[in-house]
Amino acid sequence: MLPTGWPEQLLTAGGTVTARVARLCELCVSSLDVSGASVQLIAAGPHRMTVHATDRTTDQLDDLQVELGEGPGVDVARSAAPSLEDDLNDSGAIRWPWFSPAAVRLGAGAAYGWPVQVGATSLGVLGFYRRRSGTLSNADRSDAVAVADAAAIVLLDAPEIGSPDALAWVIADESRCRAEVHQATGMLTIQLHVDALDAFARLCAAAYADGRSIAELSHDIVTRRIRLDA
Amino acid sequence: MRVAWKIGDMDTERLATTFVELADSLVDDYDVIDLLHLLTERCVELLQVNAAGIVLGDPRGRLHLAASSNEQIRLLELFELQTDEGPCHDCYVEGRPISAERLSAGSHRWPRFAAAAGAAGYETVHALPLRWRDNTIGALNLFWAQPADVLDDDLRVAQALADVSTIAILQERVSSSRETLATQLQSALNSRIVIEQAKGVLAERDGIDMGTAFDRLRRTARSSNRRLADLAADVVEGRDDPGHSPSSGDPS
Repeated sequence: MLPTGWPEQLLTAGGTVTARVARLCELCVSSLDVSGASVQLIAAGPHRMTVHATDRTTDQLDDLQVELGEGPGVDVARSAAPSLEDDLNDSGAIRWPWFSPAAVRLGAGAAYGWPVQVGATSLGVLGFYRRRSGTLSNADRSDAVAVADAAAIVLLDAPEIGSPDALAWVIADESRCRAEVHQATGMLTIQLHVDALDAFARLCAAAYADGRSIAELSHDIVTRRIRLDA
Repeated sequence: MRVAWKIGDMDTERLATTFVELADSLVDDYDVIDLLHLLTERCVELLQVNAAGIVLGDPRGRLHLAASSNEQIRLLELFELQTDEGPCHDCYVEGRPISAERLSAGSHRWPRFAAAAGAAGYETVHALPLRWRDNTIGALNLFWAQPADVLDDDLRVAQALADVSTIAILQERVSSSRETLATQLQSALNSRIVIEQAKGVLAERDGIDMGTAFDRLRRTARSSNRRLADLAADVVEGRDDPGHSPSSGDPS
C-alpha cells in the first residue's frame, strides 16, 4: 500500500515532469506488490512515448507490446479500461498468445495496465509487471487507480495551463521521442514502398525476429548499416 | 403573515443527505447543469423558499441563467431582467449577499425588477454570491412568496449550497482546460513523430542526412506558409515532394 500523504508529497514537490513521473513509478515499486512500473504517453496508432520506466525489463516489456500488438498496455490504449493479468503462464497465454510467452521469457509472471485519463482523453498508460504470478491485492489495485490519476495531473502540470512551454518537454526530448525509430520508419517507407504504418510494423517484426530492441535496429537503419530491402 | 424559518426547523437529516449527494456527484463525471438544477431543487426543499435559481457571469460580465427550480415563465423573466438590475446583478457586481423585501411595495433601487417580482407574486428575494477567492462567478437567487425573516443560520446553509455550486462549476472549467491541454500534448507528440518520419523519407529518397532533410522541410513549410507537421504528413503519405521542386533552391 502507498504511504499516507504521498499525493501531497508528490504534487507539491518540484522538479521536471519526467523527474516527478519517475518518482511516482519508483514509489509504486517500493510500496506496491510489483517489480517494475512505467508511464507511457499514447500517441497516434501504435506509437508510445515512455516518460519513465523503472528498469530494463519494464522497458523491454513495453517494447514487446508495441512489437507484437498485444499486452495490457495495448488493451488499455484500445479500451481506456484497466487490463489486469495475474498469471502470464496460464490465463495470460490464452489472452495474449504472443506477448505472454515472450514476457515470461523476460522474467515476468504478471502484467497490469491502467489508463491515465484526463476527461474523455486517454493520455497514457500506467504499466506494472511482477516477477511472481498471483493476485494483486484490492488495496494495490485502488492505489494504482490513484497513481494513474496523479500521473495525469503531473503530466499536465505546467506553470500556465495551455502555454506552449507546458509541452516543450515532450517535443524537446530526442531520446524519449525515439526520434531514430520514426526516422527509420520514414526511410523504410521508401525502401519497402509501403506506408508509414506498414513500415513501422516491418521494423517491429524485424527487431523481434532478430531479438533486438526497436531502438537498436532503428539506429542501424538510420546510420545506414542495415537495409530491410536487401 | 411573516414566516420565520431557522435551522432548527430544517430537516437536518435531509440537509446532510443533500451534501453527501452533492459530494458524490462531484467525484464522478458529472454534468454541471444537472448538478446546478439539483442544487436549486434542494434549496427549495431545505430552505422553504418558493423558487431558486443560479445565474452565472460570462467573460464579459453578463449574467445568464444556468439553472432554476422551476420553469415558470414569470420566474424566468425575473432572471432575465436581472441582467441590468436587481439583487442578483448587484450581488454579482458587489460580490456580497443582497436582500430585498416587501417587493410589492415597490423599490427605489430596482423599480423594474420590484414591479415584475411583485406581479409574479414574490415578496422577498435573496441573492448570495458564488465566490472563488476574490472573484464572483455568479449568484444563487432565492425567492419567497411571503415576507420572510431570513436568519443568519439559514443564510449560512444557503451560502454553503452556493459554495458547492461554485466548486462544481470551477471543477468543470478546470477539467475542460486540462482536457484541452491533454489533447495538445498528444498532438505535439504526434507532430514530432510525423516530422521525424518525413525526415527519414527525404533522407532515404535523396541520400541526404537527417539535418539536411529537416532544413529542407522547414524551408518548404516556411515558403509555402504551412505548418511543419502538415507538410511532414503530406511528405510521409507521398502527397508532397519538397526538394524536387526547382524553386526550393536546395543545394543538394
